[in-house]
This record gives sequence, C-alpha cells and structure tokens, in this order.
Amino acid sequence: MSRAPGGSSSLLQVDRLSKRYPGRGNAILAVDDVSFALSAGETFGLVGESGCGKSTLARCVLNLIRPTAGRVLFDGRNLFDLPGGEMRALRREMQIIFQDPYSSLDPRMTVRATLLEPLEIHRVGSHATREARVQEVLAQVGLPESALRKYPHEFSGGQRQRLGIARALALAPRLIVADEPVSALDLSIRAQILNLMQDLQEAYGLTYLLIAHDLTIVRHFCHRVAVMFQGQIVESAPTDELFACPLHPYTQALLRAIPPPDPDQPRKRSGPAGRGETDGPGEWPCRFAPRCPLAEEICRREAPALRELRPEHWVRCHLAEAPLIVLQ
Amino acid sequence: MAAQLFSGPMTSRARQPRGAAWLAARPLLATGLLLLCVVVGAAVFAPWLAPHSPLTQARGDAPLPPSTHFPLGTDSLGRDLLSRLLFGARYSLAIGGCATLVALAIGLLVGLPAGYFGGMVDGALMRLVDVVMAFPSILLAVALAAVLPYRNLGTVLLVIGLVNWTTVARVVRGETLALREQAFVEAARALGAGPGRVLLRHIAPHLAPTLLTVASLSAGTAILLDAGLSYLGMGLPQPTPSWGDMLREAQRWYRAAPWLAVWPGVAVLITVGGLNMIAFDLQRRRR
Repeated sequence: MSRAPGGSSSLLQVDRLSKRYPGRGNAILAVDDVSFALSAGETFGLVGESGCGKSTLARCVLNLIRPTAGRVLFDGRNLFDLPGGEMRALRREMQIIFQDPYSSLDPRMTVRATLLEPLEIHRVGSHATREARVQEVLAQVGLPESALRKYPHEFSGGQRQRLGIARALALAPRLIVADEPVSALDLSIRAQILNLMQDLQEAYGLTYLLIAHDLTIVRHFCHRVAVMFQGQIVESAPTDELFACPLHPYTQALLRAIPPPDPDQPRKRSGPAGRGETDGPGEWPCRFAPRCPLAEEICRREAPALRELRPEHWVRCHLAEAPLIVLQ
Repeated sequence: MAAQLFSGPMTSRARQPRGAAWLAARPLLATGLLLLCVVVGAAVFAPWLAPHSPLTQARGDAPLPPSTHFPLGTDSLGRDLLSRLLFGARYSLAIGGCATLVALAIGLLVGLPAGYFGGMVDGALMRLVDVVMAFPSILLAVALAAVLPYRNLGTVLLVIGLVNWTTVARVVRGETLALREQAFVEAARALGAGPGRVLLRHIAPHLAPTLLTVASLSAGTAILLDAGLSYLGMGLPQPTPSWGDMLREAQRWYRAAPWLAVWPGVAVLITVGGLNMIAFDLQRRRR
C-alpha cells in the first residue's frame, strides 16, 4: 500500500496540488496543498461538505482545470508537462463520471453517437469493431440494445447515469474519477449504480477516485478515505480505520451526523459539524479552529501539519492523539 | 427492478398541436410565413405571372399610369412595373439568402473561437467586430462596393455579407460562452476531444435555433441594404430589375408618377416585414 503523501508504485499521484481562483481582494483557495496517491485497483474516497473544493480537485486531477501549483502524476508522468496532443491521448486512460446525468449528456446526440464519440476521438478499431464495442458496454451497464437510437431525454436519471458510465467505460480506462456519481439520483437507484460500478471495477480492474459528501456511500465502497475541509485534507485513513477511530474533530462531527439505521433507536443529537459557517479560509492557521469545539491557543497560532498518528492514518490537528486501544 | 418502472419515454413534449392548429396558435409566425410565401411565389413563378418582359420598353409616353394593359403602370423607360417587381423578387431573395449565408459563415468563424477560447482570442476578435460596427453599415457597404473592381450579383452579396456578419458574431459568441460551461461540453473535453470537435459537434448544433432567428433578421437587413445600395447607384447595374434601383428611379418622378415609388416600397415592406415577423416569433419561443 502506498502511503498518503508520496508513494512510488502508484497509478495516480497527486503532489502538493493547489488551485486558487483569483478575485478582487478575496481570492479563493479552492484546493490547498493536497497530496495523495492511488494504487491500481483501489477505490479512494474523497469526502467533504459542499464548497470544500472536492470537485475542483477532481477536475485538476483530470487536467480539465489547470491548477495554480503542484503536479499530478499518472503512471509517473506529470499531466501538466505533457504537450496538448499527448495529454489528449492520455485521456483514454482516465475518465470521469459526472454528478448530474441530465446535463452531462449532449441532448442532441443519440445514445449511439454519444457512445461512439470516445472511440472516434481516439480512433479505436474499425467501424465494425466500434459498433460492437458500443453494444458491449451498453450491455455491461444493463441497458437494452433498443436504447441506441434514443436520445438522453427518453431515459430516467438512473438510466442516464448508466449511459454516463458506459461512455466513460468505452475506452476501457484505468482510472475513473466519479464526481458524486449518485447524489443526483433517487435513493432506490443509488445502490444499483454503486453495485454496477463495483462489478465494473472487478471486470476491468478499475481504479476509482470517488468524490462524495455522503459518508455512508464511502464506507461500503472505498478502500481508503480522505476528508477534505476548506481545500485541505484534514484526515485520511483506510476506511475501516477511519470509521472505527476518527481522530480529527471534523471527521468525528461528520460521523456523528450519520443517522442510525434504525429510526426507533434513540439517537444522540449533535449540532452541525462544528459551530457553524465562517467567512472562509485564510483567517485562521487551522482552518477548522473557528468551528472546532476543542480549539485551543495553539490552533490560533500555528497551522497544523498532517501527522501519521497510526499506521496509514494521517490527521491535520494539533490536539489529536493516537488512542491506546481502538474498539473495532 | 426499480429502473424498469421508469423506463418509458418521457411524454412531456409528446402532446404538441400539429399542422394548422400549431400555426394558428402562432399568428405572428403564420403571417410572416404567408408574406414570405407570397414573395417566394412571385420569384418562382415570375415568368408565368408577369404580363410583360421586365426589360421591354413600351412605345409612347412614359411613365404610364396603371391601366388594364399595365396593371401597375410603367416606369420612366416604359417598362411594365408589375413585371419588374415580380422579377425583382428573385434578386431580392437571392441577395437576402446568399448574403445571409456569407454573414453566418463569417459570424460563426469569428464568434465560435471568441466565445470558446476567451481571453486574448476573444479580445482581438471582438475588437475587430467593434471596428466594423463603428461604421454605419450603408457607408461601409458603399466603401466596399467602390473598392471592388466590378459589380455583379456575387460581389453585391459579398459586400452585404461583409457588412452584416457582426451581429451574427456577437450572438454566436454569447451563446458559445454559455454553452462552454455546460457539463456535456466538459464531458467531451474529458474524453479527449479537441477544440475543433467540441465546437463542431457539441456547440454548433445547439446554436441552430438562435441562428435561425438571427438569419431571418439578417436576411431582412440584407434586402434593405441592397435596396439602399441600389438607391445610391452602387447596386446591380442596369437593366437588372432590383427594387432598390426602382426606388431610386422613382425619386425623379415622385410628383408626376407616385405609383413608381409606392409599389417597390410595398414589395420591400412585405419581404422584410415577413422575415422580421418570423424572427420575432422564433426569438420569443426560445425560452
């Protein structure tokens, strides 16, 4: 297993990535010095509240947005050093599934045209093999062949997301960035889509970078999880470890906010994650300090660094300490 | 299978009135199309409808007032006004249509990259548009027409297209700017599509409804501009029966033979009015 910052044998390595959106006097640091690595076949979850920069991060990882600083190494090659043509060729290996299955499919293109497009762009195979590939991926995402002649508006949300997955899958990529793939879908459809993604991971040996704001999805789907807060990773650990032993007060608050599976079970009500909204990053050395119930003097004085408190478990908090015993 | 429950096609846009009922619900479009049909009919069937050749001159006095032999009278050279109007429809429509195609082509060529790439490209291209727009269109058309070595249908519609493209470029740029942010455009980029493919396959097709509106307006402007050019003597050379040239001719006779000015004016009004009605209706329907 690769370690959170660094790691050498990884498929994807994000190295000190930052993205600043300039503004008049109030520039926004959407992504602030983020590093992590994914090894092949792994599912890495990235969770955080709305506006914490996770979608910006996803787009930087795919070089859809140019970051302000940092590197993204795919197979050891930095995406931002590649000339345009090579970058476009590399896109064959890395695909994205979008959050909104309604706006991410071109409404004027039939399903056939939509699924053929990636194959045409990368000039894969002959005309006949392309058609065969389109039918193959369509079957793999569980849609009938009659769908080929239809337009996106003729499908339900869940079916559209299947189309989005089929399009991402057509080129048989190695990495798929899934940007909240189920948060726009009905609860009843979510499990189907996630199961589909899991089946495809086994079939293709896919590596997933899953962006989510919902910890329950991450828990059943990811091998490792990183929690983002205002552009920074505040905690990252293997999934079981993180859920059993959350060390950052923000993660702890997020976990407390998950409703129990049994509605009759008495629930310890807790406030929102921390003490409410603040004016955004930049004012406190520790971003979470204004919302942190534990904040002390040091949190207002020094920025906390990521520390590996337990094996593979990194935390950005002055006050967090490794517990002596963890109850699994 | 919860997904199967929702598999039927969405029916929200299925119940739309068709044919006559659909047109009746859009009176402006219906009127515009009717007027345009009259002009197109006149242009197509001119050889059969026209009582005389548009070029033969009647002997004797000219211009003659309306009579049974010359339903709308004759012009100062003794040519039948009705026949000239009918044949003139051909020139006006050809100029309106072709000049608009020229304007659309240039407008797309400038507007698409300006909107898609933004930044320096956008700045440079839009300053060019500003420069062209700074001139009154008729003045620019006259200047361009004066520079060209000879004058025929081709050069006239080229001149009009070269004057008319700025509106198209601006509208296309604006729409492209909005479309660029659409998720399906980002999806195409994520697949590895280059700017050419994104613009042609994912942005241009979505411009069609807008372009239809702009085209109808632009065709009207082109016909007016042609009439203006002919009026100033910079249009098609004699003896081409063009409406603008007929108006210029009528100016000298406006007291003795006012019918000479009225009918070409009505013809221009019907054509441009019809096109504008279509354009307004289309514009209103676009959300």
